Amino acid sequence: MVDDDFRKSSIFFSDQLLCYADILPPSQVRARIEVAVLNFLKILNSPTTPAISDLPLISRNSKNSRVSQGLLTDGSWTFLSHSFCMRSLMRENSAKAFIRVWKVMEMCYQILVQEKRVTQRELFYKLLCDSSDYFTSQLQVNRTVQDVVALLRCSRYSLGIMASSRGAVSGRLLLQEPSLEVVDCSTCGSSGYAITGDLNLLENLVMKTDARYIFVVEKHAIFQRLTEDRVFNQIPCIFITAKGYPDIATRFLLHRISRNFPDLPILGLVDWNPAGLAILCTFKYGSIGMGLEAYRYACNVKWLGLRKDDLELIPEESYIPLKPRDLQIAKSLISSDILQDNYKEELAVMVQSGRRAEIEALYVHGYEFLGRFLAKKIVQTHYI
Amino acid sequence: MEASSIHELCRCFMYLAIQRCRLLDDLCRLSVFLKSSPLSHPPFVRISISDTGVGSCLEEFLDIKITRGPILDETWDGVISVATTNICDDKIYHQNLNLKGEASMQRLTKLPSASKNGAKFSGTEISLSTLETVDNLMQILMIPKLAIEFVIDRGDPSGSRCENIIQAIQCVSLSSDSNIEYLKSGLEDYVLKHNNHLQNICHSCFPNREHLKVGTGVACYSESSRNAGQVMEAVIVISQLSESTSPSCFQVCDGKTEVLYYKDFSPCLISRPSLNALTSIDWKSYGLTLRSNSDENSTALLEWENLPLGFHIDIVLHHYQKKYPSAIVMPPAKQMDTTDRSLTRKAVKFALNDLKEKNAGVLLTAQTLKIRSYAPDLARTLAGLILSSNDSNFQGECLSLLGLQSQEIESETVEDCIKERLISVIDLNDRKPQRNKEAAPYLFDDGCYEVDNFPDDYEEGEEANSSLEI
Amino acid sequence: MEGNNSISQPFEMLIRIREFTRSLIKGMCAEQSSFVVHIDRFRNYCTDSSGYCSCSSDTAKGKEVITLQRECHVHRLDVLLRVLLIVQQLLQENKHGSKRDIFYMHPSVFREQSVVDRAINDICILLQCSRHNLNVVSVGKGLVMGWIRFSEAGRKYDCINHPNCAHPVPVNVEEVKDIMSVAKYILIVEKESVFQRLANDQFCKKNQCIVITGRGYPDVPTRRFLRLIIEKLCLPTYCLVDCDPYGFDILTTYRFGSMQMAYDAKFLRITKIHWIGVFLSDVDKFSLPKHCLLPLTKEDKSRTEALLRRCYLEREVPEWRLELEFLLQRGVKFEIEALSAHSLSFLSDVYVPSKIQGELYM
Repeated sequence: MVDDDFRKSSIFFSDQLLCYADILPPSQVRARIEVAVLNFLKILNSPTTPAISDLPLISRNSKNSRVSQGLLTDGSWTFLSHSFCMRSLMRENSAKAFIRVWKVMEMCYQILVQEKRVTQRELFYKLLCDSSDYFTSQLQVNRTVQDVVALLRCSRYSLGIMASSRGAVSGRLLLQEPSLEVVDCSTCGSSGYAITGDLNLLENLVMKTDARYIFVVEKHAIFQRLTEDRVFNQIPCIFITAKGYPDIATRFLLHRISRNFPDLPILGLVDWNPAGLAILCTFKYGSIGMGLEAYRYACNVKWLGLRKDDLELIPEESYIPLKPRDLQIAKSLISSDILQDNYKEELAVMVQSGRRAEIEALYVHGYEFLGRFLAKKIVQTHYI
Repeated sequence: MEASSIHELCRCFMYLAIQRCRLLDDLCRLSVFLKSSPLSHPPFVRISISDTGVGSCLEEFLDIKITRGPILDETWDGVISVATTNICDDKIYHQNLNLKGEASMQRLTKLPSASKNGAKFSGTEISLSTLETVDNLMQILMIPKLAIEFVIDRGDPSGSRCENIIQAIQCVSLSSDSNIEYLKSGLEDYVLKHNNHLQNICHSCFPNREHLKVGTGVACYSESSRNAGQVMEAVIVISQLSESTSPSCFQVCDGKTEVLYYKDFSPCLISRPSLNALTSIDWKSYGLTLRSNSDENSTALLEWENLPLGFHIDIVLHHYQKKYPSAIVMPPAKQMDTTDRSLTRKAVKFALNDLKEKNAGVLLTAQTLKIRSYAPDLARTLAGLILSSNDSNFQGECLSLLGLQSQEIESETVEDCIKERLISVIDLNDRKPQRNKEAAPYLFDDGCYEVDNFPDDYEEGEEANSSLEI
Repeated sequence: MEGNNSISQPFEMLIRIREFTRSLIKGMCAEQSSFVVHIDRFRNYCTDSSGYCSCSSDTAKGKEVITLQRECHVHRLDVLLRVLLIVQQLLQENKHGSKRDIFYMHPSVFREQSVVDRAINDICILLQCSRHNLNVVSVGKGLVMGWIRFSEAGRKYDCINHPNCAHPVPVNVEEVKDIMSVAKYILIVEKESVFQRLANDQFCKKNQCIVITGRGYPDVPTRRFLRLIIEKLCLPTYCLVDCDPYGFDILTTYRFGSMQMAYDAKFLRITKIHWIGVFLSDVDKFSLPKHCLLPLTKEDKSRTEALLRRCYLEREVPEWRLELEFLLQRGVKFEIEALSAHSLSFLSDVYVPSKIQGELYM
């Protein structure tokens, strides 16, 4: 156990343990698939000990998650380490999953050779028509794609699978795609600049800003309100939202912004409920569920609101009782090693009170109150 | 040994002949001749049982207890003629023995011996005359589960002699002269003749012996064991009838197996412990499902549930003492039971494993069969991966690994080749499951790894809720 | 013609609100103290599947009379007035608010979002305007790409220079100006994934067209934007939806508008829309694998049956209705993505062009 704790907390060792999925150009992904095929054939045709080799996948479960505690910085994140689970043809219960991994790999390979991209739904139909014995639902396809990611350790996008993003960004940010004109995110209208799912494109964006803060906003409606009110004119800032649980592209863009402008504090504005905190934590630490692609987009997001100190602003009638689902999320959060203590305190208050509140509840003070609320919090550096 | 009929008496003599053959440690021959003299009065049949084993010391005959009764009294005078010689003897000794006589000394009548004229051989011939008819004798002497040379001379009324050979052993060259080889050869013959339902090999079903899938197993105790010398041999034959088989042949194959049992070279009823052992074998791990076993009518019948049509399994067991005739200390009955059981189990398992080893794709477990069923799909996928590549180096490397020429780049060839390899490895794994697998190679790193083999981590709904895991 | 297009300034709305308020007070202070509000009711279809009814969403189907005699009416009136107050504020400050924003002003009184939604609809009917006239906006989720250029409140949308790039549909459609295009047609697709497929295949560039998606059920801004560009550009409009009850319902939402906003349907519906697919008959026509056809679920079936009862189908698009009946008969559905089973670019290289050129649509 001591060993375990040591491993989990030590910054010096944590990076060695880190396992991740790369964003790779198609040629390299193809090379990886080819290596997998050659390995398989080599072992299959071994003159001494022929065997059907298992597929070693990085385990995507909490047992294989590690926490990197920042020592010099105060950022910490969660990532997957190098423990494997095997997809084996020889075990009856994983034989089908084993074949599925190869089938998806074959399909992705062909897509990459054609230099195309597919949506997951198209992949489902292709697999359904090609090998309906193995694929009967979209869920199986999605899961197998995650398996292939964990095998080849490259991002889903690199496999030729189109990602869509619901995310949007607005405020004092200038974005420029290579050889295209600059987009001013402060003039994109209230729906903001739509974040593309194309990670390659995001990676190559050139950005400029004179903002002082970055706000991560849980809800699209709040984002729209803040953008329409042009709050970024009063507080020099950038707003970014994933419209709920963050997708990879939104996290990737936020991460790129924060890397480019490391001095800007990133402040989270979420509902006062466990799901809101969970969303904030996904931006902050990453999530195991997102697999190997998740770790590296962790950003040191601070929790601005709503927090227990803000509750005095909320009228009594705006509270809603916590639902079983909320309690479930709260439980999973509290048991997490990574959650910092003051977050746990907040969560405890939330669970104890048995109720939740949404940011919109601040509107009783008028629509423009939200901007004032943010300004006041910033001035007081009232975030944790 | 006890005998209450001519038939039983002959069995005793044959048994003794077999024992003598075994002692010689060389290839022997056991023949039974029936010579009918229908023209004499009363007509009698001369029975001659001859073997080329070590010579007799006559003592063994004295152990035979004749249960006197009307049958034996009326058809046989109690006299047997014995001609015997040892390899070192220069004469053939002739004796008459009256087995109905009271005292041993009275029984024996020495007859003039004949010279061997310097020839080196050994053997014994026992003959007796009986008033039984040939047909009757044929029935009682036909021991269906023993392959011996059996010659009948009917002494045709017209005067010409007619030789009628039944159950003649085919000329088979045996690689060694061990008991198990004989047993195997015998069972093969038995199967080829559809359990002796036919007099000759059924060529329409079995063009040759190679069509049979045979496995043998021998279990014995080590020299130091108290049960040293106890041997159990098992032979298992799997035969498959083609679809064109005539219906009469198909009747033989009814998904049941009659287990033939021999004790000390003689057919006999299966022992209860051996039968228990047979039912307790984990047939499932050989892809077989035992429905029931019945020992009604004193036979051990194993009934299979999932045997494919046309398949038949034959099993023979032989339990004997290796050391003969040195004094055998019979272990207590209870201990014998456990001995029987464990020897039977071992021998049958050895035979099953041997069968699997020698015959690819036979007796595979249900799991292996299932895994095998994935092979074509996997082969197709891999072939697809290889052939859809536009990288000729990669293709070339793959094909050379598969031992294919790059000219043979037909998708079916590649697919079939991979499929074959996969199936052979799957079968291999079924025979020798790798307990401790070598760590699988890691694809893109040589860093430090730990393998948590979470055995069954793949369940449906695994990642349904994972977006909340922090 | 009364309606949204004639209202360009918030102050006109403010005048109407004042008129309404005045009439309420008048009634209250009258001698009989008759406090009554009449709200017209609109339906855009009935369930007379014969189509012989005289349904039209353009004229009211009777009135709801709200008085102070029933408790639920009192609450409804309370909500209506509270929402009206907020709307007046929005208009006066020239701000926009979402329905959710409004709900949170008095969550304890409103209790449910749907109550606010109804009040907003009621106000639109009373003031004879569209929702956006109230400065109540919804969160836009539509995407557009292709050969079009326009500007919204000073921001330029230059889709022509990146015709394979998705742009969000502008939320404030009334501020869209300077629409320019040389496109040959507009293609509406039901799903984002299909939109992505077309983008990946550079469909707009090759076919010189505009592609738009509402990502499922289209929201009001997407439909208004679509109406606007169709009117300005006079382009033929084609719609590609899944061959299942959802796809069909989405198609009818574009074509006829939704029941909830029946009062506004005449400003939202797109009458000259051509349904180009996907049809069950395409499976044979393009010899697609049979695996592509998924069985209709129980829910699918009951939804389909409900759709079939809508009167406007028989009256206005009987051939659509036949196709839907056929779907129910066969008991299977068919998604657009299934076209990719053979070849990924089949949809953009073969399917859509052949449908449009061959005029194989309804």
